[in-house]
Amino acid sequence: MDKLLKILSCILFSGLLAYLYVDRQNDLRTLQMQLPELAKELHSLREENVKIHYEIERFENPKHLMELARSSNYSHLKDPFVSDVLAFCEGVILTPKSKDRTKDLTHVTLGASK
Amino acid sequence: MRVTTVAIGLFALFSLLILQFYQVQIVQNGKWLKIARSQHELVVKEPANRGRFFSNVSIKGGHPESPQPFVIDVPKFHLFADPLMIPKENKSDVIQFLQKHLDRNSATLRNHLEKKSRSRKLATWLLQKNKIEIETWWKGYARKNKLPSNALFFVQDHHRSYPFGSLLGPILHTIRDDGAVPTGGLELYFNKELVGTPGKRLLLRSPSRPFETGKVLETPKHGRDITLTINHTLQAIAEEEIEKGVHQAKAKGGTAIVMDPVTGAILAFAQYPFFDPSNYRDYFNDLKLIDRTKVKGITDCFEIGSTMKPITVAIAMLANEELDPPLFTTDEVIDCSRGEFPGRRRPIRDVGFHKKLTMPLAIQKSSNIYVARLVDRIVNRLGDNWYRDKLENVFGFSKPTGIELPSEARGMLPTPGKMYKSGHLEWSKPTPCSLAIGYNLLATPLQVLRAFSILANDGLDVQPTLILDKAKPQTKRLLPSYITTEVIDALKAVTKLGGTCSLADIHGFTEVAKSGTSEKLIKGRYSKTNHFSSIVGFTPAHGARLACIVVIDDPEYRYLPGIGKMIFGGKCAAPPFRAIMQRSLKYLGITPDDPYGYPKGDPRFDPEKADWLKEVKDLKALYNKLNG
Repeated sequence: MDKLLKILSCILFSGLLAYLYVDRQNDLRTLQMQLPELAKELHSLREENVKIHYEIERFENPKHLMELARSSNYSHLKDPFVSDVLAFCEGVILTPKSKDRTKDLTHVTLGASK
Repeated sequence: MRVTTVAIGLFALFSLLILQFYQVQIVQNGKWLKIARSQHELVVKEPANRGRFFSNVSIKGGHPESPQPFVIDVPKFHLFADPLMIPKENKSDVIQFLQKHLDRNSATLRNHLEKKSRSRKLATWLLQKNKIEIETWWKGYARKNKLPSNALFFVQDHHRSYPFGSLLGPILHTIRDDGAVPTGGLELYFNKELVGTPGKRLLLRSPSRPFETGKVLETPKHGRDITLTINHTLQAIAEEEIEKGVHQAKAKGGTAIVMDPVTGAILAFAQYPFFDPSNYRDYFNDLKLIDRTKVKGITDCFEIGSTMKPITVAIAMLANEELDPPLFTTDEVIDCSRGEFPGRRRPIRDVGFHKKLTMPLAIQKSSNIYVARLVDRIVNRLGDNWYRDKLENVFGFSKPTGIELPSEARGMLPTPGKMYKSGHLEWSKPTPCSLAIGYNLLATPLQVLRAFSILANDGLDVQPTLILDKAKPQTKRLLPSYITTEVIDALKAVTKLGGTCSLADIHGFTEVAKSGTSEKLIKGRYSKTNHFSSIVGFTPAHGARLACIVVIDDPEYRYLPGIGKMIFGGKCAAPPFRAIMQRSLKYLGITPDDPYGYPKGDPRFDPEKADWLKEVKDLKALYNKLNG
């Protein structure tokens, strides 16, 4: 009786392991089957992105932008002189409040004093 | 006994089976694996993307911009049909639907569908929305009529598309729809780099649902993207202004090139009439339009006329370095009242009569006789070959610039001792005087711009280029610095009152410009009514940032009151030159170096502080003194 119970429990345990293995394989196979669809979707999103990029560039055609710039709505926009443009390093803006900040601002101000 | 025999027999059979198993699985493993793979797998080409061209966005300082492509490969679809899979009774329905949705001729569609073929291309370059429309209709129709769903199918392709339309059209060109063959321009010149190498992908054969996307056996090597020196905004400015200039002059066409005179970077290369690469077939199939596909700035040569004069003066100053006593001095007064020169049947004339001139006056008044006198002295003392050598090896005439475009013309410079096909000598007695005033030689607009840029670049060599990585200052010195300074100072008076290019005066900036007007050869004779009108110059006068040439082909021969003859370069080419330079300087944010140099009446104008006004007044006084 004991031996029968042991054999049965071994068979059950092996069966459980086999079931878990097959179940995992099924999950993997399901994911594998989804891959082509996802790849297709990704490809189509990339292509869509290219088309939208093209449409944006068409709108941003320099001749079209220059025409818009001549209209009264945008007459306030001007091309600045290069010397009037201040270029900030990222670190200056992100620096936490500290004694050093004054030094950084001075450096920037000198560049802008012209 | 019987049992033993049966057992032995069974054993033998099983042994045979195992042997056969061994034979197939182990010995012939390779062969059957190969056959199985060919049945279950296929190798497809993994397409490589063609390289693209990008604008030079780094030129505008203090203004970071995202990369701006001139060309984008937009995904589109071709519609194919398998006529043998569509029964006769269904063909009319298919034709009717496609005719309505594709706007195609029904006779052409019928012709395709009646062919005995497995694949006919019915329509090209369809958008996604067209594809979805046709697919949706076809799926329903095929299911209802029990037709195979792949009797109509789509193949994806990438269409070379130009978001900026005809901007930079002749320079870029395109590739043909049938076979990706470049039509010219940069697409042709850089085809090997742009094409790339396709890769390979392994796919499982499965009609509806493959288990894998496929294994990439060879990664595709995409074509190289190329960043040009051309800036899209400067190009648009140049194209707008050259179009206006050509219309105003009622001319056949025009070319404008803007270049950085230090690095040789071509910032804009405009020509009008335009060429739209998206509709290349319309141009190549029409003899009247095919001309627009050329890059005339490098293929078409012309006699450059008076723009040669500053170059002649620079060469004469070079001659001074080799002669003692010198050939001339810039303040020497030279008689310009008579234009007789050896070998010439007719005397050379100036547009206005001048008795005596110095070098700065001669440049300001664009005197033909003055420069002819200088060249006469050069050839008498140094010889014809010395003069020709300087034109070729210092200023680059008759040598291609090496720009990265196909079909560049080298121009023409006559050679002493050589003959034309007609039997006449290329270089005869009057030739040097003709060369001095820009006749008897042929040059492209780019060659002239490069020659002038040597003056702008303090006498250092300039190598024009369209590729940003290659644009860099050259170190070879062609002219001493003092020569360029003196010539530039003389040229500054040309754009002021009393000069021939006052319409080229750039407000707020110092500039240098020289116009030229040369008669065209029509049926072997110089025409009095057909001309090439040009202007070339740079700004600021010292430390130049931009050099520009504008050439107007055949402006209308007419007189406008208050302006004068419109055929002159100083009248028809100068306004687009000024507009291009003014707008480009503004766009680039360059600070004016002549902040008081504005027209009279402008509140910013200051006659005491405006650049070169005092010098022009002194020149006027000197002219009056010498010429009464």
